[in-house]
Amino acid sequence: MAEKILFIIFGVLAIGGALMTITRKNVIHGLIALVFTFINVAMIYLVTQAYFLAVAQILVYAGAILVLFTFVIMFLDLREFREMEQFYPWQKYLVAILAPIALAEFIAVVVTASWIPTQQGITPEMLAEIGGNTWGVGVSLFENMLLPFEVASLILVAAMVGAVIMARKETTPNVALRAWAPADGPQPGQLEQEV
Amino acid sequence: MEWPDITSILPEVILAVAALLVLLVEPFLKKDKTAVIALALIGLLASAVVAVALGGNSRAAFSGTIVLNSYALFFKVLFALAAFISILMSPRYLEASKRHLGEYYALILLAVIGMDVMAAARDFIAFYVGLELMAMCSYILAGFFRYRIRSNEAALKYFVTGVFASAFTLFGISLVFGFTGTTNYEIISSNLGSTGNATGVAFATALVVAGLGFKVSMAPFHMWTPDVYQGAPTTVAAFFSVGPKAAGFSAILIIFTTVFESSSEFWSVLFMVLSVLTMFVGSVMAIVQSNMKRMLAYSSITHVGYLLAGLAALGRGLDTKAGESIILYLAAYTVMNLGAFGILTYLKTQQPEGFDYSLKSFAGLGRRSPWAAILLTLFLFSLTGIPGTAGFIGKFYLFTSVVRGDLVWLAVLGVLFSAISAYYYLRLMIYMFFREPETELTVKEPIEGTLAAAVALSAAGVLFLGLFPQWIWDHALKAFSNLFG
Repeated sequence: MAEKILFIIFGVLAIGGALMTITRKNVIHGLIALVFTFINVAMIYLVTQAYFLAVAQILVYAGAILVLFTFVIMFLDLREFREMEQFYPWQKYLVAILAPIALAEFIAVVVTASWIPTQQGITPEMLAEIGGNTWGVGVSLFENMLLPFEVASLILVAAMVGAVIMARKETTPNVALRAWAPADGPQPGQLEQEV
Repeated sequence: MEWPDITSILPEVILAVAALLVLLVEPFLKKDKTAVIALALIGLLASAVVAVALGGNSRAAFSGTIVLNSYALFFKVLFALAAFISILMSPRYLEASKRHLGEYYALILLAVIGMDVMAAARDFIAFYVGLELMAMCSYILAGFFRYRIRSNEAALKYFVTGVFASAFTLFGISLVFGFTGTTNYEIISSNLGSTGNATGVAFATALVVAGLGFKVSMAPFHMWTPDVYQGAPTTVAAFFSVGPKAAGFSAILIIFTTVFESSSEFWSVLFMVLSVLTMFVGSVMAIVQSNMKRMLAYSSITHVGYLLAGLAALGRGLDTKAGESIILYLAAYTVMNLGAFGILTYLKTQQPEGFDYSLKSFAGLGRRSPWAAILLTLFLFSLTGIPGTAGFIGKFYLFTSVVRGDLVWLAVLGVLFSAISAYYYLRLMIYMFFREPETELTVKEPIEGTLAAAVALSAAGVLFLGLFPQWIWDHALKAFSNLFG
């Protein structure tokens, strides 16, 4: 019972944080709200006995990635973002109709569902039996889920290559940023042409 | 500790090695990229050959996350072929666009690995990782011309909407996990029916349909398609229009016949509605396009509509003929659409500045470069479904299976929309052969080099599948019968 109450509290806080993240016009405020969301999600992991995942969540997401985010955003000058208009004003009316339907459907699912893992529950005894939390994560990661784990490394390679392609400065000396050597790239007039 | 069963993923291992070698060799090359192109082509060829050689195997590997069977192998060969033709098209075009980087080839190879994993996965986690690998490469490739505004727009649109769609898929998967406590397809399919919660299963089904529907550009999740095809490099658009779609359908076929078997009545109706909507949106919007790249994008949406009709038939009693004809159609669609995009690539390479894919710029093509015009006509005939071409065989089997699924009205609608599609394909031919150009464009060279090989391969595929359908039908039959192996 206590777990359920804690789950509801942390869940509500996490959703609140997520809403804050996407509604703040100031990007830094949004980021702080995102940290808040991540920490609450980590708390939900704790409630479900996934200690290792909770610590990893705080270290990796709330820690490393968010710090990186903050740095990048502080380097950028994002003042004009605040003055941007919404493209399709009618969209919000559509959302106002569709979102409650989706919510109602979701509530119907949650109320009527029989969740097998939650019914059985993961107890500390079960964890002790498989040799502890970290051990369990390790076994499932490197034995049962070995292939997806390896494919994930290829995703990182692809993302890295992509980041290099998108961000590499392709200039010859004495040429301004975001320009290209006369013979190597499209001319400024070509920018808006069909590709 | 025992060794993992590497043989079962040998085609992917070869592709991964080739991709990494391309990345390794690329920095040492100056202007001439022949070495990396050859590496990429050899890698794809080797992976296809190995996949063919592994035929006849049927076993699960890696703790049941992946299988090696003729279904997976059929798609592995198909993806390798699609990537092979796309890469053959690319060098001249990328040079003409002044952005010829070796990373391009590595990204295509990595995307093929993702697709292979999607087709072979029998576990939601493996499937999702494959999907993300494919998607990640697609986002980067769409924005490959990063100095072009349209390319930037395409990449950003694709990325934002794609991530959103992935979230939907994940939500659906997590619901299924919550119901059954596992991510393995087979165990889920035996457990999901007995949870006795039809609403929940239907909700999860709908979420997975939405997520995968985005990848195969099914209406109403198709909005990104024309913009991304228009903005992405033409060769990349060619690859997008076949690869991720075939991969999406390979995953849809396996997921909906195993995991969501218990809700087959629900998703059959769902696909029926979506099929009509998709065919309608694709046909109507294709008629009003004056940019031929956008027209092909909408035409590809229409083709997805036909495939969805096949899925609707599959859901009614899980008729295997429908599954086989979907596989056959995917193969036919791959060669004909790649060919059509190949000709667009050729024309753009000819006129990097002047050619804007508008209907007008095709005027007089029949006189200017007759080979390009004749081949494009062949591909357009095939897309329309004229007998003797792959498109006809695909449609014939597909609509027959829809009729067998007791959905005569849907088959009639499909044929009707094919008739409408003839209008926008034939209009292009009329411009090519019977209209005089307003400004005379010059032809620099006939189709030659690797581009010629790509177009010739596609044309040969279209004619071969169209004239000798028995061969591919046998393979589709074998593939689908081995779906669960």
